[in-house]
Amino acid sequence: MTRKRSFLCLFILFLCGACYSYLKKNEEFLSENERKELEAYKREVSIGRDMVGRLFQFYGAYFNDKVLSYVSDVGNYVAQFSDANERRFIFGILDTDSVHAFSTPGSYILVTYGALANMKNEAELAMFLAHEIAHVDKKHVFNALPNIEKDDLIDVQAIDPLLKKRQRNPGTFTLEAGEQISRYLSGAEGPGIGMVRASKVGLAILFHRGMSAEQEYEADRFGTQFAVRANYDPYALRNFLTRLEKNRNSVDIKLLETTHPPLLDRIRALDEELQRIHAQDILAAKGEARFLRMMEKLRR
Amino acid sequence: MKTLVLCCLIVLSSHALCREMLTKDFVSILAKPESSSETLFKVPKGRTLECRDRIGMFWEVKLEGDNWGYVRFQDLTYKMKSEHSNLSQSLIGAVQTHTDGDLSAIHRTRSTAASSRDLSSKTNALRILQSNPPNFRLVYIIEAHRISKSSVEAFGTELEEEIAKKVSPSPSSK
Repeated sequence: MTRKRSFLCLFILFLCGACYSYLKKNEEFLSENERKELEAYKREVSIGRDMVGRLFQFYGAYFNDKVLSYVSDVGNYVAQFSDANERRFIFGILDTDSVHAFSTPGSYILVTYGALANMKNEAELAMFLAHEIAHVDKKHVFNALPNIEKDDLIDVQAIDPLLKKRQRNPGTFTLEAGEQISRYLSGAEGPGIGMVRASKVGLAILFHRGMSAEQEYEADRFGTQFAVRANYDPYALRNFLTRLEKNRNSVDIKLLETTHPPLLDRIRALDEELQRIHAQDILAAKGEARFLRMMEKLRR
Repeated sequence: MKTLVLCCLIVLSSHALCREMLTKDFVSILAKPESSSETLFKVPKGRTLECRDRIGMFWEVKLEGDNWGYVRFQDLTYKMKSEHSNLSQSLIGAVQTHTDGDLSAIHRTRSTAASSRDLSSKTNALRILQSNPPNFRLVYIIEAHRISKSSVEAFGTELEEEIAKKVSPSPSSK
């Protein structure tokens, strides 16, 4: 009899546990605000996925399971120390020698083969990724999407000879596209041309006009803080940027320079932040051995 | 004194600010980020503290109200989230995962654009980026990549070990 009761108790406990874990994972049990946040995030993911797909199509992807896992682990470890630690970050490697990294809405982060090949230790990788995590955390690209500029989008009607007769004033086109993106971002319009246009403007921001210098300095500052919280060497990003500056003739940093403030200015701004956090007193790790072990696998 | 410590601990563990860290031992909460600073109170091993910034050799930890205390960084260890919140689960679930064919067969996917088009002008590159259709197959591959909690956790441990070696180098390395 006692055994039967114990079984019954265990069974009830098991049922309760199963129900609890179901409720925890079910979207229906989100609060109003959480549901809004989730819907906004889903729109972010749609835009990010489209942008990443286009970047992969353009550059090609570098797939090495071990290297990708490593980059992903370092990125997710640092992201735990960011203010966006509720999100899942997704990492990829672009097959280009250009030293760069891109972050898109929806927490996608792409780092280039060239950037990895020019790093010396894990702390540099962590800082480089943390800079992008900070862009995602502060929603730099996402918030800039409705502010469309003249050269951000190709007006298909303006360049297609068959549609030339219907060519519109570029000013009207920009205004109309910006409104369409805003409607999509606010949830007033479903996925469609608004989402695709948002993705294309996002690419123009990453690839053409870049983010504002202030946003880049902010990402450097917060990225350094996130990586330092994770026990990485506070001087890592500074060292990496200094090396790029020193080797500027042999390293492809053209895109990095056109979309970011000059390297020397970034180094100067970093020095101020390092002074603020008493970086000289911080005993931190570089993760050099693990990084070098992993980079031996970085072969083309 | 015990009541004061207890009250402070409740405050400490109820705030979700930046990062949760665990006390490794019986640790002193200091008033300033200096070794010679006055000790405000002590916290037993295994307690969770909310940390904001690393200031030199110290972690800045949240106290009652808008006050901050400081703990030697070696006294705290990184705490992995044991469970994601309801919202966090939903955010993670919002990124659908796909499997597309034999992933192990793909090692490198070359760009078609880079080899065939003139990329010398930045505007040209942007036009190609915008006009080419996205390659979702590659996106799904990175989305399907699973993060192992244990391997991420191992990162923190290895870094702490590296720092510990710097603090007290082994006799052989002297």
